Amino acid sequence: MSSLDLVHDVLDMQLVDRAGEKMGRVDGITLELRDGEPPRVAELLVGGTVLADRLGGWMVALAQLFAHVTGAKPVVTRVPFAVVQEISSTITLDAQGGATSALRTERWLDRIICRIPGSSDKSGKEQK
Amino acid sequence: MKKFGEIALGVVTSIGGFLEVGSIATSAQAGSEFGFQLGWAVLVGSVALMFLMEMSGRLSAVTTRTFADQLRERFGIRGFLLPLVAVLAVSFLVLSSEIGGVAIALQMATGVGFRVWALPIAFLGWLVLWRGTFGTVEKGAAMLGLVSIVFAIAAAALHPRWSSIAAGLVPSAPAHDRARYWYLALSILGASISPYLYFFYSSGAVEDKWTTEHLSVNRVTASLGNIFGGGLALMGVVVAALVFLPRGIRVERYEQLGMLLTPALHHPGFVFFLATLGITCFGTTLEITLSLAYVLAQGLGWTWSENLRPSRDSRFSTTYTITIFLAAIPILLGADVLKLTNVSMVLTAASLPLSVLPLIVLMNDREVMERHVNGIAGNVALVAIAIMSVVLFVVAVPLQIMGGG
Repeated sequence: MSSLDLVHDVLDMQLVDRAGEKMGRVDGITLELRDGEPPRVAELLVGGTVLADRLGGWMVALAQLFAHVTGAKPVVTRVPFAVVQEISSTITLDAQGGATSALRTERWLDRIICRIPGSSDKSGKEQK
Repeated sequence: MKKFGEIALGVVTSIGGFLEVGSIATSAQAGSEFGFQLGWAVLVGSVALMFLMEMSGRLSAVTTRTFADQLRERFGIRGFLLPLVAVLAVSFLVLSSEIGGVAIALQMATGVGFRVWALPIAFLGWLVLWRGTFGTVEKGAAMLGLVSIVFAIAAAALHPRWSSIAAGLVPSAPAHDRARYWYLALSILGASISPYLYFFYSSGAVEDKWTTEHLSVNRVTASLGNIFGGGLALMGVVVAALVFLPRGIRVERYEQLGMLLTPALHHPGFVFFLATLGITCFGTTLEITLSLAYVLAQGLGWTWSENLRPSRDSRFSTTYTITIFLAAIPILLGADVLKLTNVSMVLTAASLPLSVLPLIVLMNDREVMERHVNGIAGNVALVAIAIMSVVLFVVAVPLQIMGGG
């Protein structure tokens, strides 16, 4: 039986979608508790408030203050563990990143960035 | 040309370490107050940075991933947060000082006050990052930074006694102003070894797609770059010792530095000094801005690369855009650039343990480094640097209070 060390091999690892797009890091893990059976890994969590919870005390207060001041609703992305395709130096998901809330901020900023001249036309830069 | 391209990363990183607002100012202060006696601090800084660059480059070449990426993965968010906050805060202050350095150079060249230049410099820097690639930043800054060779030419023209310079490379106790002496030693070390440098170098290795085939390039780059950068910073001490010390000039404002090279090179000396200050500080501005965005993006798992169009990695490009304009604000408001520089160099020195200590763990982990783990020599050097960094951390604040004036 091969084993997986959740803290060593999964927590804080880079998440990428099936196209290779970076989707953040594994900020938290949830277990599903089942009657009469051992618990099993349910979801991988991505989100600033999950990180704040891990750091505890004053970071939670700071995150709440930030949400209060900016009016932003904290986003926590829950990825079912079943979607995990491969675990190596990164964790690859059999999913499309853009379809999850993990890339909500990235996509929201895309719209602003695209309005600035030179953000997406050909210079020496690569498309992808 | 291909060869130059390969070592450009090392040259540009070491210029960032040794020839920018921090090193130019602290070298000049050291030379004007203590002659060649503080040469050893430049030497220690170069050797330490050489080891740190080689190791962070090796880490990235072997794993094809960056130092910040590995810090978060290996030490979790708890272990990553403190280095992250320290590197971001300290580098931000240094970034403001660099923008100030370019602004002062422009003020001396045009007579128009330095505050006016803050936003145009930030805009120009942003434009280079927005439109250029990593190669633009790396090769452009390395090529233009070669102008700083003028420090060596000026030093040679003054016919120093080379044996006295060599004597300064051995640490010795000062005959006067002890607190000031150790304060300047600390500032020189802070100005040479900045954490953003090895985060930048390690990200650069990934941008340039280094693999284990680049391990020898990495060694050559880290050594040549630091011999070049450290050597020129030492020449800065030498010139200041021969020009300012006999005339009893103590460096209290940047404007005084304008005449650093004129006794040796006359009017062209003034022009070349301004070019060196302006160009190297501008190059370092780009380097630190990128570094801050790299560390944040890598630690939080965002898409990042200076080679992607800004719309392909929006969080990364937004980060560097906000950073460079925010850092211009203190200069726009008329901050005292020399004081800002000195304070940020001391804080840099104090922040070193947070990024050096984790490196010991990573460089000795076979799971990460495979057969490329540190050898005995590497570990002895790294532990010595770590001990030094802890000492710097402890003495930084007391020395700022006693010797900062």
